[in-house]
Amino acid sequence: MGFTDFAEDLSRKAYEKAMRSDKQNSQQERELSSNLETLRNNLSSVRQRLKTNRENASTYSTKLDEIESSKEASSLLKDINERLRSLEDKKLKSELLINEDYTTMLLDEMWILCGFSKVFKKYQKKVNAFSKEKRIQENNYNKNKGKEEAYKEISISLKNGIVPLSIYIPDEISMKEMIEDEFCKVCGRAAAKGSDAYNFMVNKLNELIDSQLPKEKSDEVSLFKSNYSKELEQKSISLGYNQDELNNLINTIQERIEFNESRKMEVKKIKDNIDIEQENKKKLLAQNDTLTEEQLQNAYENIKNWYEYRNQAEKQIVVLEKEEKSIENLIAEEQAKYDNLAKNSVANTYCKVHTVFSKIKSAYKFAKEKNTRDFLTLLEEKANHYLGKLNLEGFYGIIRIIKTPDGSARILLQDKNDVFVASPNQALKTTMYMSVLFAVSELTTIKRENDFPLIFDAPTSSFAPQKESDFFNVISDIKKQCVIFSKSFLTDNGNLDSNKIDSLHCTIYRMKKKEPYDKYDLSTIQTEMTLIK
Amino acid sequence: MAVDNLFDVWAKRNPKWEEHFEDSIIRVYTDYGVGSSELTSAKGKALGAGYELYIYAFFIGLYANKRRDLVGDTKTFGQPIQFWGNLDSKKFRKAYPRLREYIFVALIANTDELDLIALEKSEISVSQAVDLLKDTMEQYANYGFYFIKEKIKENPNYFYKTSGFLDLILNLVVAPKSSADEIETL
Repeated sequence: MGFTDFAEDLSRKAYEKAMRSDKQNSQQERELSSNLETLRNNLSSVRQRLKTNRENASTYSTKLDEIESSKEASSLLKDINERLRSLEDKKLKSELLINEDYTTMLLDEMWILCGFSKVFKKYQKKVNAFSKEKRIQENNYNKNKGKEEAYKEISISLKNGIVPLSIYIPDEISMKEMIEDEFCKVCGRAAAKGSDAYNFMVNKLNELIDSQLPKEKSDEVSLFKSNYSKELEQKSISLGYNQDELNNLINTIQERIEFNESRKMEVKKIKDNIDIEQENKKKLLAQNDTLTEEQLQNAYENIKNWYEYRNQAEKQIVVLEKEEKSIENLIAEEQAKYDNLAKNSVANTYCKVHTVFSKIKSAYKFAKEKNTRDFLTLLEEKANHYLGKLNLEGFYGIIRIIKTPDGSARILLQDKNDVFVASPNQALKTTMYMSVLFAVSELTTIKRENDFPLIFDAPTSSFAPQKESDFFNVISDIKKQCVIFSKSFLTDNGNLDSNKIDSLHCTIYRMKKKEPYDKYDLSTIQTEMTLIK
Repeated sequence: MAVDNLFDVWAKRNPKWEEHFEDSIIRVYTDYGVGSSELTSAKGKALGAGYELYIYAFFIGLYANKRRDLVGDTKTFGQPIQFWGNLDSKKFRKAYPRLREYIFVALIANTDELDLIALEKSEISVSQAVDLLKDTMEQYANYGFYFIKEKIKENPNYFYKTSGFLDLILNLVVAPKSSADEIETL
């Protein structure tokens, strides 16, 4: 709190105390001072809200200014990220389709049977031969044992030297189907009801059905005590159904391998596209280095919100400013009433003292604000003067120094149409800050009448050769002591560039490590200064 | 009394293999002696139970049509053939019980020593017949194990390639066409 605030506060308290001690007006005084208290609280609250809204408006304006130039980049980034997401999804989907567990598929999918057809054919051949041999032996045995009845059944076939098929072949279902259709599906000929072929089939089926009936105990001795031929024939039939699958396994395997390979190719292509998009993203982010990826990404969504917040804050400012004015007027009215009450009392003197301090305070406050405004205007003017000098050619814009609601100041670069230059190149940015620095230095010299040197560390590192030479020329003409550390006067092989040095009219020293020194011992490093001119 | 199927009697057997393959091959590519095969991939093993490699070795011998007698100390797996391929409970794997039937069929087809007529006449017992089938199986698998060992000797990483096991089978199966592959003339 400054003296004027302090004096105003103290004199007001003394004035109010004097008023309260005046018994004559105590009732009115209480009323008025209560009103004033309420109004002052209201005013304080309104001002607080006003400050917050001004800060918000300023913050969102700044953010919007910064983002304005990044709007396009933000939209591009959004597109790139969307494409990347979709590519990553596609890649993942393709990768999930790749199944190269070939080793387990050999068993789980029975791929290992891919060469089994030949083995199975051999099996069928062997089982057929075995079955046939068994039947021949059985027939011979029965014949020998004089079983004429049994012999008759097959005598017709045997006459022609043909051994009939096993009673299990064709199976019961197939036999029934052929009889029903009156067609022999083994030889591919019709077998009309009543024909020899038809009766043959019916007899064969009955024989099969009979063989499945429970056998009555008999004392007869049969040649074959076991019947493994049935088991082996049944296996031949049941596994025979899958022969087409076995024959097709090589193709299945080939298809799976080709499928995996094409998915892998697909993944590789997607990966290449991802790399391209990521490269684009890197370039985009490098071109917009003022904002991080997250900021740029959010920018798109934020622009709408920030416009809204800024508008809300600006509307609120108008409302609150009106309210502030109105409360200030009310306070003035109440204060006038209060002061009137004092006129005819002992508190009159205190009132006058307070009025004086209050006016002094207002005057100081106004003056301070005016001085700040004037100073910033002057600073701006001087800074722009230096900016022009440091940038002889090309666009350089106008420096604006803006006071923010929180009391600090912000340096901006605009063009003459008040368009904010969001991303000036590094050299322009450097000269902008340098110009403000020179301006501050110049103004302090005027005020304090004593100067201090400006020290720059490699200020021209971002400058093109022409700009660098302009810079040194400007610096050498500035009536100010400047100490500049630079490598600009060294050629590529580390020697002094005499052309550059000759063109300057200022004192130049060469600063370098004193030799010899120990590469591994920091304490041996010393600086050597040599006057060049 | 119900007569056992030849297949069922055979499936109750536990085929033997030469013991030295345990460390040199079986434990390298399977979870043999480790337990559950659920963690197969986590352990970097290509196969689950030890018998899976046995089946693989058997098919190598079968397709190469080569057998090798077992010598020296032998071992068997914990599970008889009837449980081979019952992987329903294992994660990411499918059961393959039918493969047992195909192995059986291959043994019947290739065990010339087995006289089926004699078996049918009970001149030889089922057990003797199954012994012969088991011998054939062991000899085919034994050849397969030696073949795998040889492959590893040539290239220790051969079976670590995704398609290592498959390639070997395909090489044996997709042989240059010979007249034997032609459809037999009637």
